[in-house]
Amino acid sequence: MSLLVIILIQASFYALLGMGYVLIYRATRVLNLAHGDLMVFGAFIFYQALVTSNGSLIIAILAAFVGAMLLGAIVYTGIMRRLAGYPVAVGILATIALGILLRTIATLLWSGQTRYPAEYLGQIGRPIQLYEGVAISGIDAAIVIVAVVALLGIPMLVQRAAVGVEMRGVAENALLAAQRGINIHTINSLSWAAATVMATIAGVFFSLKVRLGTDIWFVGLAGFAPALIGGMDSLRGVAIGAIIVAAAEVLAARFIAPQIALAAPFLVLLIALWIRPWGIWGSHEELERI
Amino acid sequence: MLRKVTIAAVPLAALCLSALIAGNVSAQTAYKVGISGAATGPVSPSYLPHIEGIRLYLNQLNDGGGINGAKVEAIFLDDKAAPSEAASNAKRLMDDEQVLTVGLMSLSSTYAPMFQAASRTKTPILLLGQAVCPGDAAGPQMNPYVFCVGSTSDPNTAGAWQVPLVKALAEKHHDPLKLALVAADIPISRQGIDNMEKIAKQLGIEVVDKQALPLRAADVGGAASRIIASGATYVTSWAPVTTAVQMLGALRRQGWEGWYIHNHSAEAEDTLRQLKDPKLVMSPEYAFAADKLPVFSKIEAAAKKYNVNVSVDQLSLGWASGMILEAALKKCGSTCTREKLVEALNGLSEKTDGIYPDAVAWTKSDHRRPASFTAYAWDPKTQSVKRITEWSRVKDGELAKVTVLE
Repeated sequence: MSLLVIILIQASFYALLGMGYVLIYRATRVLNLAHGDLMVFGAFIFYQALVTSNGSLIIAILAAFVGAMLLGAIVYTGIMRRLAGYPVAVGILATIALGILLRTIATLLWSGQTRYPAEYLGQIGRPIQLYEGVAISGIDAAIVIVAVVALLGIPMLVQRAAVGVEMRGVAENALLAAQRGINIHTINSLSWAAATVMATIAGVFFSLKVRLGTDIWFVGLAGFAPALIGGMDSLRGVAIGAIIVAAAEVLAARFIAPQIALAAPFLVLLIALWIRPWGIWGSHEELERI
Repeated sequence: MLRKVTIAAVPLAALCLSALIAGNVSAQTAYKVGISGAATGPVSPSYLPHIEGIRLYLNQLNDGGGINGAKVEAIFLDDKAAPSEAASNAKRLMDDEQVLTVGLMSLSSTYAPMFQAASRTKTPILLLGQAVCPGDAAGPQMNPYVFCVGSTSDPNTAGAWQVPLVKALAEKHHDPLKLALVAADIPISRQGIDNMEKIAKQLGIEVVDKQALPLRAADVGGAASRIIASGATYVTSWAPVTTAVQMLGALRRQGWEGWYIHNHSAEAEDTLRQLKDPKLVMSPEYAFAADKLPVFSKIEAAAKKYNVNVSVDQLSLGWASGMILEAALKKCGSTCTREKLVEALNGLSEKTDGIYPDAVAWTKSDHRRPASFTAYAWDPKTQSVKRITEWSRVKDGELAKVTVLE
């Protein structure tokens, strides 16, 4: 039973990361390899606000949210917008360069020193006994709750809200959407902003749970496999992808060896791509684009 | 006649002047040294603070007049912990800049290109900060140009301290002892826990789990659950501090309440202070700032003066490295060359105001620093980091004698 809880926690974290990849891919067809660095940057904004406000969680969350929205919008407006119309590979390469740039700026601003933001928030890592042998910490419970809210809320927003409908329109046919009067650049900016918020949420959780440093960008890459397994253009698919990846990782670590825990999701990914290359819930027509 | 005298005097004066200039040149105008280290890259948190520490020491040394009236001109280069960068730094420092010595503060994977260049150019290499001392710093295959100031905590020596420490703590707290060993999934770290497993068996300790964690794991919950399922009451690791912190966090979140004993790193004291876990133990080879030695006040004052925003405990090893470098150059004299410096280093014995418990002393046949260890943990009563054992010297092939403090 405790293994199921561990898988659920890990899947929730991966789902938060994976949704960021999907949001950007749906809107701009770009596989954002700077997702991990956006995650680090957002987490540092949270940390800085937490320190400056003497540990006020509300101020830190607000600052991280606003900072992430701005960062995402600036990245799209300043870099990605100019690459519209170029081959997809150009966009992907641009995100690699963006990642290195963000990492350098973060190192200059906050140095390479490791931080533990959880020290400002007390005992959030203390386990809460659910019943005998099964415990979950406050921070893990928060990860699960936020992931569930995001997994239910974001697809609903995309389906029903006006801006969500416009997002879908731009994702399906940008030219047609523009001809219908939708400002595609505003919509794409919003998608980048929303994805950066998702990356920041994941970064904040990781920094509260483990640590914060400029070297944790690699954690962001962990969201790539769930997104690909679930379908790069499917928000629902991320949930299934995240559960598969988390289960593969946790079970491999527990019953085989922790060394292969990192490789296990990618083995699953290879099998999944072989059987269903467009992902579990991905659109068939996305195959060539990927 | 007067004209003849004048004509003769001009070349004579020129000769005297050139002799005077030549005399001045032969004396040291500046001691040119190189520092190559991992200032950026994934492992930089373990090395950058030490680089800042030696920079700080040399700044205050130069401002105070330098050594033998000459300043120390230090060229700092970043190797990103990459062998290719280290090779290019070695060439630049030893061939182009003609430095007297190179201080190396980086991963052991950068050693080979540096050592090759050092042998070719006969340049002494000082392994500083937390650079691990290689096996050929003493013994029949000894490299005459490699001198260890940094970590003597090779995989074997560390085990000879850490496993007896686990046993002593378990005895002190009357805990049943079931040990789990954790490494990072890198060769030297795995070698460390393999050696610990042997020592544990030698001491009659039951090893219930042994695992190596990927350095880039996003979550180690599964690995932690394996340790809990094994019934481990103590966990010990010889790995980067990030591995230890990630594993400890995962264990604690699942309700594990045992002791976690880790080796050390630049961030060890800071980690204890931030995590505030009374059952997390760090076992360094140098004094933490918690010991409140007078030298830490000196470092603090210098950091304030030169606006260095790094905590004292992270600057101290770099500071001690600076002290050793100063002593070596002083001993080398005002006409220091690489050959003379090697000679000076071979007979050097220098105390570091207690940062290292023993004097750093080298002979022609042994370039290692004596290995002594202690242990620190968070004390919830005083809300501070506290030393929990006496210092213990670890000699070749012997296990440490651990005395746990009250």
